[in-house]
Amino acid sequence: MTTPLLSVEGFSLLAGDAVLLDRLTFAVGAGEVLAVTGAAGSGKSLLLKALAGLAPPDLTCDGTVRTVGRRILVTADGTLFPHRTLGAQFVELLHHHLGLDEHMALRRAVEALEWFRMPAAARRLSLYPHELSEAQRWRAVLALAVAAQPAVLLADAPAAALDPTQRAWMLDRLAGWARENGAALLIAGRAEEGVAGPADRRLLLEADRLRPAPPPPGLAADGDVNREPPPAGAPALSVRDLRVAFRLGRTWTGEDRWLTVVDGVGFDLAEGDTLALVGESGSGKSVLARALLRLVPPSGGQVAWLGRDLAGAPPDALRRARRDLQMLFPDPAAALDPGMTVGAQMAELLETLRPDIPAADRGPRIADALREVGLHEAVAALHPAALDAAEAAHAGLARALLPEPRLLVCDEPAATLAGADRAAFLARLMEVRRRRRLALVYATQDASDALRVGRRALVLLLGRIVEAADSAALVEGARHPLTRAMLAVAQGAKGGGSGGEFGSGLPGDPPSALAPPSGCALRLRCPLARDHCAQEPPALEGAATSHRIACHYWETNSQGAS
Amino acid sequence: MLSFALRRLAAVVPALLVFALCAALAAAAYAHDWSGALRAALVGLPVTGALVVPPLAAGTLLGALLGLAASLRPRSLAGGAGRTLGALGPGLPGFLLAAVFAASFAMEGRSALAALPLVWLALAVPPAAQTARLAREALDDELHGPSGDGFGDELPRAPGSVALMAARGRGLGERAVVWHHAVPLGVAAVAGGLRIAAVATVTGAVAAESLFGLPGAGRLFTTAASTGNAGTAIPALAALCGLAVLLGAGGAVLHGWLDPRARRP
Amino acid sequence: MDRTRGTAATPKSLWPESPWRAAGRRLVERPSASVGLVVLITLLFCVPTAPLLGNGPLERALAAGQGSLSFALLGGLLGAAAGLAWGIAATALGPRAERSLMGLAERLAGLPLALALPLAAGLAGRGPGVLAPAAALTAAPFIALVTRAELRALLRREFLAAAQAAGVPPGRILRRHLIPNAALPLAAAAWTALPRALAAESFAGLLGLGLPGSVPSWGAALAAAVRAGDPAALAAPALLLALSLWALHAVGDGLRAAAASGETPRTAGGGRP
Ligand code: SF4
Repeated sequence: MTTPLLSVEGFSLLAGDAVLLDRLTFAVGAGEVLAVTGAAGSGKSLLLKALAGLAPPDLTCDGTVRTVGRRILVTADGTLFPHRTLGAQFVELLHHHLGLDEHMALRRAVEALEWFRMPAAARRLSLYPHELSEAQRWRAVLALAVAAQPAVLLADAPAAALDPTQRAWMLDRLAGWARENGAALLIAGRAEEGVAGPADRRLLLEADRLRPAPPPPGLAADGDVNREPPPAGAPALSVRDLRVAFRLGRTWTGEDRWLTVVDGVGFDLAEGDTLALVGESGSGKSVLARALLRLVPPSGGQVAWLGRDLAGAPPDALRRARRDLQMLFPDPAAALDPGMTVGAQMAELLETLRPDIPAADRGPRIADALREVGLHEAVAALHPAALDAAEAAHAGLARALLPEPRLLVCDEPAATLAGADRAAFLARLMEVRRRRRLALVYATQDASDALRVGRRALVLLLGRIVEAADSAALVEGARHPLTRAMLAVAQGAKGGGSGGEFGSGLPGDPPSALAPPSGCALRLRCPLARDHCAQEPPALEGAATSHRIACHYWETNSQGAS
Repeated sequence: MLSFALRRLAAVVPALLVFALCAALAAAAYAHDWSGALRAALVGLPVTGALVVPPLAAGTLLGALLGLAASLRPRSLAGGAGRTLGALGPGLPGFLLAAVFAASFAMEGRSALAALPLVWLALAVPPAAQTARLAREALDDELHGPSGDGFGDELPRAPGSVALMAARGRGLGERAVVWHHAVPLGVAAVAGGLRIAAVATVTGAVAAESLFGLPGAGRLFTTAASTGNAGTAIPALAALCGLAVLLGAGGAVLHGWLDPRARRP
Repeated sequence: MDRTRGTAATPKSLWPESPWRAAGRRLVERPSASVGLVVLITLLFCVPTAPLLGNGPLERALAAGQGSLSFALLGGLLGAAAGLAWGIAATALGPRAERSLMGLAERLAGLPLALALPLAAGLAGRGPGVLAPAAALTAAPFIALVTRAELRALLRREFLAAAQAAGVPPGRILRRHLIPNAALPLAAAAWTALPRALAAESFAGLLGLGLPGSVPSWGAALAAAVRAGDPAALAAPALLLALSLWALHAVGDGLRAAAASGETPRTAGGGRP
């Protein structure tokens, strides 16, 4: 590395008297990938905008920023212009930067799209952005940036909304492009967004200043995985062959068309036990979680709580079961009625689920529950609009604890939280769970979260279980390619080094339930797929009684891994 | 795009057939001379069309320009005019302006042609006002981000919507960003309001025809309605509805042409 | 975790506003909406008392507003009720009914519905019993479309699932969660019936096909002035009509803004700078 392509010295950003960024100094050389992580609102986006020369005009910049060559900023949502075809946007940009004519520009465009493995790249050029899926839109956004051949590429939380395995793959390609073409790449984002995965160096933006990111604790570190012994006793919740399907309408032949979202899932859960449902978008984990509580009507199978089937339960029995089974929602703020105070909603729950508690006792109970989760009891008098995301999450937890449940079903309960808030909330949840000996079903797309929370984990793909095992066993030797990829990405995202063969995620997009591939659902993304995978869907079979895998080649494929 | 236009235009055919059927049934049931009633309605239609289309087109164009000016150059004269027009628009329906003009300028003894500019002016103001408002709001959203979003940010926000920021990030120049991207989106929003504007202009034309004594389908309708002559009034009404539906479909095609997102079925 | 705001501060100072209060504040914070409110209230005071004020052209025009405004209220209420019922029926009766009801509303919205008033007046007489339903028809399809969209968005919101998980029976979810949350957006939608009914009646009155001659109205006053070719006589009713239409629209916009920003989801950081 001779002269860095991007060098920043004593760079400060001020809004009036307030210091937003304080004397940052760093440099990125040719072919180098730097990751800047930080919590939400720490000023990452502002830093990138300022580096691209696009800081808001009412801010004062101080210090020097030197760049060599063209710099391009990929903004956080990677928006494309809605009224122009992809091809036209490439032509305009490449003409502007490189002076290419239309023919050359389109050739470049196809090359760049193919670098990000856009399927049928040449044909996509005539599409409008709204005709692309989210993942394909990100491929196009990154390809657009790369095609202009910048010397300095600044990417703000690229592909943050995609699944971890998808995002890891895209970031890896992006970093690969920078290394191959000698560009300086700066990726900013939250630590959970996996931006550190492909980076050579990592910096942390905290309290307006940059410092080297601390080496993250490895996933496999012992305290980090749930290794509780299996609790004794009969299963309290038992799920058999659960199916959820939605009717889409009729085909022209008059048959009903169904979209199967959960397809024959079964498991047992003892009291006080914890189970994680891991899956990416479209895996059906969230619908499964809701079907357990009959918030979504199951179309087949059985959910039994303490031996009583909930599927056909009359309203009274269902209400009695709801006292034991409570839910945490993915967006806790949206799960509170904006028109009622927090306390009124909690009182309503007590009134319906615990008629045995006299009305006079409800107030103290609500205050106790709020205090238990670390909120001031006066929060009960507030309307939800007055709560921030973290407070809303805690209020949701308090409400769920009110009827003294025995099982909490959590559907990505911290999805709207980030950084310290998220960690604090999860810690609170685990503490409450331990104290109350709650059973937990925890749906998440983050494999490391899943292993930390769940004693056992079910990996879901397209509504089916592809691997079911104890968390401890999964850390030691996951067998299914999807599990291995998700674990490797979760590990790599923290910067814990390369995750081996699967560390850069999986190519392609998660399979769609509307048009599932033949045979194994992972077939189009699986690096280990063979011909046979297309012919027959693999059955769930056992490496051990407690470890079952749905993959034709789990025995042969996993030998290299363990 | 062509298939969208054809699909959208074909979609109004059933409606037109229904209107024709209603007109024929009403004429057959109530009119002494049913073919004469139908013919009168059809003959009046071009006059109404001539009253509706020019002010609709001119008003939309002018309104779009003033609205863009109001957003891009808020301090200029045109910008101020665009903002005022957009703000006052809801209080100025076409029939009211037509009434004001009809009372202010005595039309006794003058030819119908002399009234034409007045009618056009009266009917051009409402679409211009609506368009100015739509264009300004859409372009403001594009240039300065959506107004009144839920963030109570302490940090100052960079000017520009996400799409424009993304384009600036890619290194496109400010002029290209505004003229190639923001302005077309503002104009597309204008096209989205064309259907409502067309309907309002047809209504205004009916009032103007009777106030100025112009021989169109609108006056045919009002005179027939005030004498309780259903055999003439209903065919005339059907003709007016047909005109509104056709103009609305034209507006939808224009909208689809300007904004690909509007082409979805 | 220590929730600094939750633990330290007294919540009274945080955000004592109820959502209704906040919506009211958003309404009056819009300059055009508050001006519109003042105009409307002034009109509501002046119009009934106009005969007592004197007998100038302005007073006479104000007095003519009695017929126009009360008809606007009658037709508007009828139109709002019809539109709301239409939209609610489309949401409640299942996908097939929804498609046909909304298709109908969509088609009607593209027609010059204001012509229904003169037609009804000419063919069936000019009593309010005929004109009010016709005026209602000019507004109902638009209200139905908005109602359906609002209800759909509302039914997807998560707090309804949360209430279900809390064991709240369906009837009570409807009463305590759905209706209060739907009230403001639907009121904003229903409000649009008022200016539509007022405009439609004035339009018909201008053509001589509005309310019967015994009822004073702005449309009839305009028609008389045009017939006489007297711009001075026209000025006052025209101005008052324009003012009330504008004020009704401004308040309607304000209501919509008040209802809309109540629903903006609170995002958790995410893409904030
Ligand atoms: S069955 Fe084949 S495609 Fe599916 S996971 Fe196993 S190896 Fe991959």
